[in-house]
Amino acid sequence: MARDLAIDLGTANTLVYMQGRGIVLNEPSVIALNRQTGEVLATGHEAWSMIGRTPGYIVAVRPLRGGAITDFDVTERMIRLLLQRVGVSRFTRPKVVICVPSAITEVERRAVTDAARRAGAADAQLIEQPMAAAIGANLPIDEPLGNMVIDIGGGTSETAVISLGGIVALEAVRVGSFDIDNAIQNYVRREHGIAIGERTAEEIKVAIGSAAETPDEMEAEVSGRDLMAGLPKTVILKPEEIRYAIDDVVSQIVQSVVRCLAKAPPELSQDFLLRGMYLVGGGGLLRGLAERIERETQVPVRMSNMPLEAVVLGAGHCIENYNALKRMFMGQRR
Amino acid sequence: MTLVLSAVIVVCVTVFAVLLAGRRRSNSDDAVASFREHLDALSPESRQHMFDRVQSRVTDTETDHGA
Repeated sequence: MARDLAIDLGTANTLVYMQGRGIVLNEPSVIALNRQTGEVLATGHEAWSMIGRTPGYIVAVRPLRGGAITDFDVTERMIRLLLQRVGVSRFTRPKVVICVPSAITEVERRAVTDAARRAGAADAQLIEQPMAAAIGANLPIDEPLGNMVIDIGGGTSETAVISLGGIVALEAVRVGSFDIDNAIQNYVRREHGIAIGERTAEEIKVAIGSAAETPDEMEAEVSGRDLMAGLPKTVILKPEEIRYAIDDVVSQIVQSVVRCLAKAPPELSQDFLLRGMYLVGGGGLLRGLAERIERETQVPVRMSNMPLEAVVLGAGHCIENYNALKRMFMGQRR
Repeated sequence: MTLVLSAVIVVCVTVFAVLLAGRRRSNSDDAVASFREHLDALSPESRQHMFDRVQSRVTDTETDHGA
């Protein structure tokens, strides 16, 4: 008998929750392929370690961008391999609930469900990421209260107001932590004349990146390729430089939160002042982001207990209570 | 003859009306029950079991790594 699965198919990471077991897989959404034969060489952590370090015949790619599938065949193969790794075979075809950005188009929606079905799922249902995040953050969304959740992923940032089990107001932008990495790469190239890879940019973000001034800030030594000489070169980056480099992306995220607050009915708005907003997703871990949102909205911001796992846990809860929570799935609301 | 036919029609209409009302009430009862079930399944208490399981797995993993 197949155990049903919940999948957080993120731009950055893919997490799988198995019914009755919990989270059974948490890997980067990366696949390495042989460019000539098209064979899959590695997935997950192994493929991630290859990014930017592959010989000509290998390509390590992220098949999702902005929360949407950019390469259908590669995504299908990645999902198939991930399902195989958690024990799904030709004979055990589970029901699958997949978390997707709420701003996904009909075509993108169909691409995800088709990819999951062709990869071995008996049935594939979709759930909006902010809704799953609110369930996974253990917010009391069953009550007539204003629950606000900000989910900042690799490619999308979504803010939702949820009450009585449904989304009341929603604001989504296709900007996420990968855009922050890109902004760092561009800044270092422009201002210091060196090229760095996306993994190095991510490491800089984690080490000294911040959305607002924080105590105990440090400088970072970064190495890359000098664009003029073509030789390896090291520069020192200051935290205020990185803050300046990523300010445009951070501002877009903060402005989407402000727009969502403006859409909320006044009865729920007063709840936010008392209960605050909850940050989930890897992008929410950026230092100073909670403080920056709090400063610009005048609403308290709290970090969820398990920000990286909240979305898949929420979808996992839907799998555990499939019949009772059917109306949570996209296209199932009555 | 007309009287009997009228009586039959009245009885049929009455039975139909009663059945329709009962069905409508049952549909609305179903909707209320379904919505209640939906909200109950979303309550923090119903989610606690899942969080406990995840937490215990995390603790197990940490213990394994510590060993």
